Amino acid sequence: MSSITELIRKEIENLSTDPTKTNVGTITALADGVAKVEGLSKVMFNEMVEFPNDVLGIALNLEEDTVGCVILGDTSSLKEGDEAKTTGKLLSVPVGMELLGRVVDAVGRPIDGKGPVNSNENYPVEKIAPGIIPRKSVDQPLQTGIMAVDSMIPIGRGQRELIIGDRSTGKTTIAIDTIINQAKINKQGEESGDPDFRAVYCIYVAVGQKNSNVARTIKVLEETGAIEYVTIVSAPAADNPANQYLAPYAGCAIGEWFMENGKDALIVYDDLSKHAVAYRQISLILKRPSGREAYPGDVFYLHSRLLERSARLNKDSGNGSLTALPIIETQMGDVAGYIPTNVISITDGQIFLETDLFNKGIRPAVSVGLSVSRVGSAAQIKAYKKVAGKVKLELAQFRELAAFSQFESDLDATTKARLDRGARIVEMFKQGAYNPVAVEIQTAVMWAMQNDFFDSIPVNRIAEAVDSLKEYLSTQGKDACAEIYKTGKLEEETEQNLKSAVEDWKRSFA
Amino acid sequence: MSTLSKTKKAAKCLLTLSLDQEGRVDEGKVRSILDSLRENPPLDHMSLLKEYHTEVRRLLPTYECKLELGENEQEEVRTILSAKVNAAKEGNFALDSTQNSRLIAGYKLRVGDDVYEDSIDQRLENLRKSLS
Repeated sequence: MSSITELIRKEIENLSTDPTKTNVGTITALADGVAKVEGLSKVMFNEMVEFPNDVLGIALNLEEDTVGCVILGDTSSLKEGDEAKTTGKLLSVPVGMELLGRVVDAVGRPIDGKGPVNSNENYPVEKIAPGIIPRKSVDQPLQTGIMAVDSMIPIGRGQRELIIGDRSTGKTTIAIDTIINQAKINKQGEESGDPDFRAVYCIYVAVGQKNSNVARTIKVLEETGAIEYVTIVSAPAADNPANQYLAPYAGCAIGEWFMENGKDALIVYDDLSKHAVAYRQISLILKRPSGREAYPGDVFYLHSRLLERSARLNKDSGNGSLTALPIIETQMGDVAGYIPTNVISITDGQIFLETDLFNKGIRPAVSVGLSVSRVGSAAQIKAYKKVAGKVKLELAQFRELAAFSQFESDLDATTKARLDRGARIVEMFKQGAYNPVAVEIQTAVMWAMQNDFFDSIPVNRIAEAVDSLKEYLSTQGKDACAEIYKTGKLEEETEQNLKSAVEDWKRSFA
Repeated sequence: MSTLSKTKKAAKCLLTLSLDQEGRVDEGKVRSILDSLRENPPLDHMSLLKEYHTEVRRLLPTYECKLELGENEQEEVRTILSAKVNAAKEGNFALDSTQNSRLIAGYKLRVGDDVYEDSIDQRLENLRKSLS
């Protein structure tokens, strides 16, 4: 009891007694979460505006005689004639390590029932992206734990890699797998006590998702123990469009804190198609001129200014990084849509997921031909580069040959060999959800494939064999992979150890 | 140019004609403009009047001063504030002052859409915000 009175006493002592100056206006119209305010002559663009009953809004449209404000929160308590005040502040969210393991809304308020976020620092939601001078080229890998991605479409720290595909093709699963893998690597690194180890902290931004989907994602992260390295920013479909529009920027501000403090962070925007739709809704209500598909003219800038904030900083700027995995949902596999092409042109590559492959049971359903990573290969570890160099080409040749050869009965030996190898690689890349694989084990499995250890195994048993080899390499054959983990290289001696380990496994598997 | 833009432009011209030398809306000039409009109504009479009304309404509060005082405030406070406002705004403003018991003590001064406040009510509100 005494502590409560003490708290109030301290607040009274610290209370400013200076006269205040505010700029006020009056609500003249209120509809669909947007208020038109007359007055507010000194309001700034993107400034927070205070309405009665502690409702906040953001000034998005500054017109000659009115100001268009989007309301953050419940508008039912507001009415025409109510007073609006400027606050002199830009919208900001709490940032810092205290946010790890928490679920917050678009303005950084906790919604997980775990009490207040005890953060001392706030970052503005809108911020100019780092310029040319503090940046550095991507040169460190960010392992997703998904063999098909790490081998053919490698991602580096500070890269922006788009995950694109139709509904229900496993886009979110790839992002969640990547988060789980970061948590696994973080735990392993922390246990090793390596002073050079750099943990990757994750931010998952859910925009316009069903609450049930967000709850499922949280559950998966909790079950896998990854939640302690993750902050979830949720603006579900039930939230107003203003919150859905702001959530990615809020998440980015949280990620920027890690980057600017010399740490590595990964942010997933799930998904930017819904983000664009929310922005279109706001723009139409604000009566901004609409363009193609009724999106406003600045819909490209909406995403470019967000994704440009992901970067790899140089040593002088703290050596931090913010990697972005934006997600885009296509309609009927149309990657040439307005929003998909916009985001494709902004990002440093894309992972395209195909419905056909997904339905055939090839999961993750990564389309080799349409997926690309523009910078990530520079960050791949040497050992992996050595074994995965030819895989993408082999798989692309297989897909091409498979399409032609289905009508041919008599195939020459070379074509048959290529088809055979391709079918095995496809089987090797099949991987269950939420089960990322360590990079050293991936390297070993790829090495075994490249050195024909799977050739004698029937294609329909390859997936089983790969799983068995992964298990062997993480238990009995652990030592064979240890050197790859330590040095990141595949020396002759390591190859010898690997060979004997794989031979041992093959005897037991047969 | 659309009809609406033309009307808006005309309303702005009327507003300019309604201003005195200090740039404030002159009641006499407004009356004479309204009289002449009534005598020679233009085609878009109604929309022009509406636009003119909006323009005048927008400009009026920019030099309107409203002062709210707490219950026990003295005439002295009113005089000091009036002098300060006139010095700051370089003009002769008549403060329209009222008593507001909700303030408890202190004052709330509105000049155009700027509000200056130093009252117990405002301090209590700040305390509430800092504790919530």
